[in-house]
Amino acid sequence: MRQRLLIATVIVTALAAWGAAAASADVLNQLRPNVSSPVSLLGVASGTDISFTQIPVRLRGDLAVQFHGDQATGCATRGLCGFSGTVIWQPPSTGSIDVDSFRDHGRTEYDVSLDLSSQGFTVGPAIDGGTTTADVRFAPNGSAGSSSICTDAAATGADIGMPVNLRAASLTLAAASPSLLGTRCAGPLQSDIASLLARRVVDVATLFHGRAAVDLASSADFAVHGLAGTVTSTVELSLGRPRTQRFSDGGSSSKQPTVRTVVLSYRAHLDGSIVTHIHGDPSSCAALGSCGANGTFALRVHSTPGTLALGTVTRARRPLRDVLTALGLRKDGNPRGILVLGFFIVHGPLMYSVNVAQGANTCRDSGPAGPDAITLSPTGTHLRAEFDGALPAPHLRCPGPNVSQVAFGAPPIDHLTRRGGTIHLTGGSQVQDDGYIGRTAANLTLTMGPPKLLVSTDALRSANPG
Amino acid sequence: MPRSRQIRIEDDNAVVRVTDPGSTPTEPHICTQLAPVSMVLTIVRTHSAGLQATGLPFFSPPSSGDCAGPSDSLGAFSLPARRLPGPREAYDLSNTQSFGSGPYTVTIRSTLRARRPAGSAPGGPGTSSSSGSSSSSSSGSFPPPKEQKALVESVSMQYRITGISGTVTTTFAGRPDPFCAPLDACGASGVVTDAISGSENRFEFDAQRVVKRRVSRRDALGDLRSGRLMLLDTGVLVGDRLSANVGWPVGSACTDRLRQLNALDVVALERRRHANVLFGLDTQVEDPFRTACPGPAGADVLGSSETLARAVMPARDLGRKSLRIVLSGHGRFVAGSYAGSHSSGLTLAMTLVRVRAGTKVESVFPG
Repeated sequence: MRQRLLIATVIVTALAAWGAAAASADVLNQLRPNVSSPVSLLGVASGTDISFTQIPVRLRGDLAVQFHGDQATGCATRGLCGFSGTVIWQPPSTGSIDVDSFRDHGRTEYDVSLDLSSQGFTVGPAIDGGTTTADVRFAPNGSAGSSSICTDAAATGADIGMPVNLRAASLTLAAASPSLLGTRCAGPLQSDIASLLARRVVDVATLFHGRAAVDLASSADFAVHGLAGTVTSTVELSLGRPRTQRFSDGGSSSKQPTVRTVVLSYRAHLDGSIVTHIHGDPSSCAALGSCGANGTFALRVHSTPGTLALGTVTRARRPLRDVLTALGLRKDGNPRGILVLGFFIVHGPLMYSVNVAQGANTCRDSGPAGPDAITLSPTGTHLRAEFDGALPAPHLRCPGPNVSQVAFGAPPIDHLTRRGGTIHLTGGSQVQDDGYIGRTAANLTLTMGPPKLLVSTDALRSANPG
Repeated sequence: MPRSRQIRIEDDNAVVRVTDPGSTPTEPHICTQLAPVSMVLTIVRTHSAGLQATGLPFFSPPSSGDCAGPSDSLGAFSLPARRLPGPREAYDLSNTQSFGSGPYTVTIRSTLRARRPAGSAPGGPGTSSSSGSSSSSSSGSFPPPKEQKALVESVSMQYRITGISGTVTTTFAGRPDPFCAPLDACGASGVVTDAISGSENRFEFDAQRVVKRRVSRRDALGDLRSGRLMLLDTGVLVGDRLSANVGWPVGSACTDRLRQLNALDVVALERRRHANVLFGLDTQVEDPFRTACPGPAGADVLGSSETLARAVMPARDLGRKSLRIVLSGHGRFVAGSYAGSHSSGLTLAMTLVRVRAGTKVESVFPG
């Protein structure tokens, strides 16, 4: 299933980049990530009804988390005892619940999410999602340094996933991206409070009707990983009238363009680390409470083997040698205009570890990361590979900057696509964030086994590639 | 170098932090808010001072958001620019300068350095240039629709505004702890009063439609009053005087007064179904009630609406010698760290100056 997901992702990306005519909904119509082969990825299976429903939502209320260091759950070993504060998430006043319906193995499945990204015209710069504000104080015990305060704000919760089981959608704020609690200040993680947030189970059919109120108010205490406190939500959703776009099978496929999918798949794994050293920036540390801070954030990766897919979609009448040339497998074709993309989802042991010293206090934390991803795209004679860590705030429960954990590599394409091999992803960049400066160093190795070539030709239902 | 270079600066995660009165190291009072920045700096060569980078007064320059701070745009500043050596075009805009803005002294400290990204061409992403010349191309564009002559039934009424006055009052207070904390609004309360006065003295109503036969002046007026003849959107800009008074429990207070033009307007739209004219006191600016004091933003007070007050007048009243329209509106809000209410009242008095009605031949676009 994971292999299908990877291949599908490559093709979705390729198609989306292929032409403006293929609107995103059309691309979805063609490609579900959980179909059985590259052929069926192109959506020629008959009788598949897919719809996209958007339900306008008005939001009221806030989410507040008040916390303090907690001896009983190990604040001393984590250096979190001196921290206390309040984190508040305030949603935007409007958003939408998006319901994507699709067929999978003869059953209708649903993806449901609360989309709070900025929509339409705004006078000023748009804020994607809601706003999280943190007010966190650090008061060390005894003579272990001086007290400080961290105040910060961030745009968070642009997309909130709503899990669906059978036909029951769980409406909750627990799976927001970016995290509803993510700022540069110390504090609990979203995963620490996720189970305490209200979860309203609604039948998808009821959701389709819209025009309902959903109360996500709740209040509960938490004590986990060195921090304890209270989570209070007064958030309410007011669902408006839904708009549904249905996708038919587009009639006879004989009139549609025929496309060829060529995918190289490799067994691959990723190993290595990205380490960021930071310290408080004297010019801006006061407001973040980071004066005198010194720390290290490390992402260590030893991924489980998975499938790396590198592929492309073209019109079927384009000579195959052109496609194989674009993939670096031949040299006698014309690769012009063929877009090749690759994808590898990094699963398995990915671990963030944090160590931030300030005065006599050292905050230590660790936690799982990922899944992250490596994207691949040819640039002339080389294959550019890019790793982009999914977590924008790798400081976990400790205070720290928002940094990108990025690494690049660009080996010659033909050597890799023919036989597999290794790609070294490196990178060093300066960190310059509110309250912090520092440097990131990446050293990752992507190991690819020998390739398997998959070629399929089929009709595209309604997208209109150029 | 071309005559100018433009550098676009965007930061979706810019944060404003304002230390409020009564703040101490042990008990800090800090107003914190996300305040995204989108601004354009134009680098030009001046005769006297070499290269200068000037902030354009559009977009969203740095601001203090809902926290206390200068109500004037912080984007209207100039920085000396210095061309940096190297293969890629680059500028050093580092500088510190101070100026006065209302009750505040503003110090801008820039550590900006701008360098064209590797591989980008002049005029590519991040920067753009202007050499003072312009060109246009019609390749790929649709041909413009052709005008044609048509018979147009029209009514034009001009009123003289004899009186326009009113107030918009917003009262607010900090929400209960902890929701008041982000904007340091715990225990704070305030009132913003906006006194509205006229800045234009004519209000014109125009209505038009294409017809097949000539109609008389009387019939055209009848069509307007019955709703058959479509009224075009119209309006007048107004002036207003803002006064804000915000207090904290520690005893300190913030007061500010300012005059502004064109932040608000009175609009008239046709409500076709009921043959009515809808008058609205609207705002087209991002935050019409922003002063140097802290307080809720206009969007917090009004939500997604742009209308502060409304009134409905039957279309049959158009053409009366005098009109007196009373607009009103009110509402409550809970947003950010504040909760409160707003109420608006505006009286607009007008006397008829002239009426033109009938049919004429005009150039129109098809459809």
